[in-house]
Amino acid sequence: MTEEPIGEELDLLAAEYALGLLEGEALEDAGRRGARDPAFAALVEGWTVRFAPLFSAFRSLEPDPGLWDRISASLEQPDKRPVEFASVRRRLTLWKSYSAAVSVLAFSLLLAVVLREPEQQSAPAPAVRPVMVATLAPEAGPPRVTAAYDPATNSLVVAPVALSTVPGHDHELWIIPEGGTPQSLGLVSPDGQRRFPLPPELSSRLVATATIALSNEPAGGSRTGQPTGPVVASGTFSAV
Amino acid sequence: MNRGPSDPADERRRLVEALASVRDGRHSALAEVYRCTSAKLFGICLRILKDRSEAEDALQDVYLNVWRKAGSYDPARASPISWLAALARNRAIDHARSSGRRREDPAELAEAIADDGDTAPDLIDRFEQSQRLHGCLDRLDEHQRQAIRAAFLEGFTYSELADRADVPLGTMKSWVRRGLLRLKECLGDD
Repeated sequence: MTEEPIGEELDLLAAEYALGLLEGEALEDAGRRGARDPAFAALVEGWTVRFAPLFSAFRSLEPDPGLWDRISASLEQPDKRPVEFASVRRRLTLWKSYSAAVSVLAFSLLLAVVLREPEQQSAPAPAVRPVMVATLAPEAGPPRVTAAYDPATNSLVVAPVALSTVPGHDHELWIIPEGGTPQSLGLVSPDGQRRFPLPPELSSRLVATATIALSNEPAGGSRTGQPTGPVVASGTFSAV
Repeated sequence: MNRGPSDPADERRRLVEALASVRDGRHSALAEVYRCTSAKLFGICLRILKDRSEAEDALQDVYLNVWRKAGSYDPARASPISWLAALARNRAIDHARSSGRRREDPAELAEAIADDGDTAPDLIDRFEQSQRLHGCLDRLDEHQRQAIRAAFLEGFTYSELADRADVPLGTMKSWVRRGLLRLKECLGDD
């Protein structure tokens, strides 16, 4: 007979979970509790913070020099988690009917964006000649962002057109290859254009038939690797 | 190779900026994070997994996680190195739990990973915080302190701790829990 832990018992459970003392079913239960109960998650984080100074007791050791190359190589092949999220797909098929006839305004805005590289880039910026552009818009409303595909760097240059942020939320950008699962490209901020590298296994042909979508996520983006919030805008590419 | 500035505030700022760049998708930024932190994070993985090649696998996962989750790092809530170290420790513990094998300290590793007391304040973002924790840990009974330190530093479960101390599981649980309650009281409000 197990009683539901509360108060001090719950806080101890949080400490045990944070420390890694649990195993088997107790570990699974605590994991589920952390996922569904923000108060418990906060208790766990509290213990993590309490113990953080102890990290100084770990001695540093150099790993094998070849390890970075292995890490770098595996960045090129993000693993896809084929989690089903039918609700997102349903909404997206609605948006597909809005395959953008790119408005003149959006396109000229985009040209301005792609020709003006952000200052912070460390490498010399390659000249960008967009071959495809997409306007992401909601079902009924003005475009929110534009995205230009740059084949030279296999990336999307995304510029906000009309994007507002809600405190505590971020806009996350997804690419959904036709018949495939959404892959996160990162967070879009309303205050400037950004370049988002695409997974290299997406050829320009796959990009051409992909849907680009923006979802409303908790600050910092989806924790699950898949969209968790509503799709606020989406679009597909048109050749320039 | 230049390991970076000795000023912790500088180091922290560089890491925060690098993580923001990782969030923007810059490979070079992740390389920078790796350069600054891989030795520390590898030390964590190795101490918990006690096997070099498993620790390297875990470390690889850690940096892939950083690549994917850099967007969720909030500089207001944690120092960058604490965030990274916690990622590394959690990943190492995940690996330890799923491999399910009994971890022994191989002799050749023992010296490499042994705790020689706390290392230089490259990690301590707030000296007072660290003093407080160590002061409160010192106030615990020996077996409480050792068990809690071993849980954190070696990633042992209750049953592993009980086995190593050669005490019943219930005894170890009550040592740890009482220790945790006293720690919490000693540390007061965070």
